[in-house]
Amino acid sequence: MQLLHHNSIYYENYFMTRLITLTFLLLEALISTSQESKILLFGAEAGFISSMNELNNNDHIRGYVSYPMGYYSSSIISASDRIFFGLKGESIFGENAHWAIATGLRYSRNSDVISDNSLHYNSTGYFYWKYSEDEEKTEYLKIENIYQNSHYLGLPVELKYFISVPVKLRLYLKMGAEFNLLLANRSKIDFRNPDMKGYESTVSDQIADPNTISLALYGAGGFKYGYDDNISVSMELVAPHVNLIPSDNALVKSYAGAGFQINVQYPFNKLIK
Amino acid sequence: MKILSTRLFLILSLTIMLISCKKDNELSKSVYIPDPENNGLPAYSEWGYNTFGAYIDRCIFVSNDYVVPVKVIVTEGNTSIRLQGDQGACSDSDISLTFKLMGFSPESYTDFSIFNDSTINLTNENVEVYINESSAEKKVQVISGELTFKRIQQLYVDEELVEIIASGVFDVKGLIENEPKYIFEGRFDLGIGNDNFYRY
Repeated sequence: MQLLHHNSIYYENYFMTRLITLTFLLLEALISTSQESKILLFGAEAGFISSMNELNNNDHIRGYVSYPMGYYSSSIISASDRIFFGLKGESIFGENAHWAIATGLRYSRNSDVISDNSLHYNSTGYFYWKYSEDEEKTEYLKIENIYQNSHYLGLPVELKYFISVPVKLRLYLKMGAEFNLLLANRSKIDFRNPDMKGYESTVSDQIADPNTISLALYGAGGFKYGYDDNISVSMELVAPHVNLIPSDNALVKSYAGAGFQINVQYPFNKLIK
Repeated sequence: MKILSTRLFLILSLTIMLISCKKDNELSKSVYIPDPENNGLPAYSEWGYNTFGAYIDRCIFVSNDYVVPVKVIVTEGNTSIRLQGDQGACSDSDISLTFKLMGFSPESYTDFSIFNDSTINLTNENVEVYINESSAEKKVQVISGELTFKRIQQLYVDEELVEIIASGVFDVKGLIENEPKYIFEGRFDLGIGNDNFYRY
């Protein structure tokens, strides 16, 4: 077990080093591209994605069995949302500055939750979690919500096409990919009976971790307000955001979602002056 | 005004009591998981889903959401395990199947633990089987059959014992008023607690 833990740390460090190296290589490529086009922007981003998801088949929840056509035998619902923010460099190139490529580092926090659907006719506000059983005895806990928060460091790569020539308000379309590495993961449980709080670590240990790496592709469309030689703001709708490696073990398996992203950018040459 | 307030208080109290009862009875509800291999029957489970099912010749005999699926009645030194449900499209009337264990007189529902991982031969002289259809109880003349308790578990919720879960299978071949009947592919996953255990 200890060996496994050491291996896990080794691979996380290995991937982390590679991720940061790759980010700098890509940024260097951006700078060299910008030397031809003379436009390199540096900026910050933030966004939100909400994903369609389903609870992974779970041997601990009483009455939760999925059937074809998305019908479930219980009123349990799940949600999967993520917020992210990061720093990016963007190089604008091509005739009439129609194209842009961007990369950087992105922190994401994925929040999965399962709970009893209070709108369901059969709702009780809690569900039963089987945490222990042997030949003669089975033990449940009444649980209202289980949260699983996962923290990632990621590398986004985005290709943008501006529909119009450079003006103050430009519409654009975008395709992006992101590679994420799991940094940390934590579960939190709301028990119906607060006296059962002592079982939080027992239940947490029975929820598997999400995948160590994740890969997603996404499309987006939005507008940029401001010229390239000064501060500019862009807002976009992100859809679809497709998770290419859904986690089969974690609390929730998320497939695809939608959200928004905001970017604030400033010319790199003005920044270093 | 005072009468109105009193009524309002009573209505609110009643509503709160009803909501409370609903929550307390959560484990008594049936969770029907269909068996993909035996059409119309619940899948075998050991979660205390309060379901049972069997085929009676070509008809199904299954638990439903409206009738308490099992009642255990201990009286005069004998124990009756009564499964009550319906026959789906075969008949509108309720039907029950009772296994009567002569000479077994548990003090509490937890005493059923002695049946864990055991099989009762239904041709044994200390066992009787009855079918009750349209309020007419008929004794089954058992030719062959077994009632197997694969697992009896004590169920604790938030560290408190709430019921036992009896899971198993059964089949009966016999005569009912000289008419041959075959009850097969029987399976049950039932919670037995204070609410459905009667001793008098």
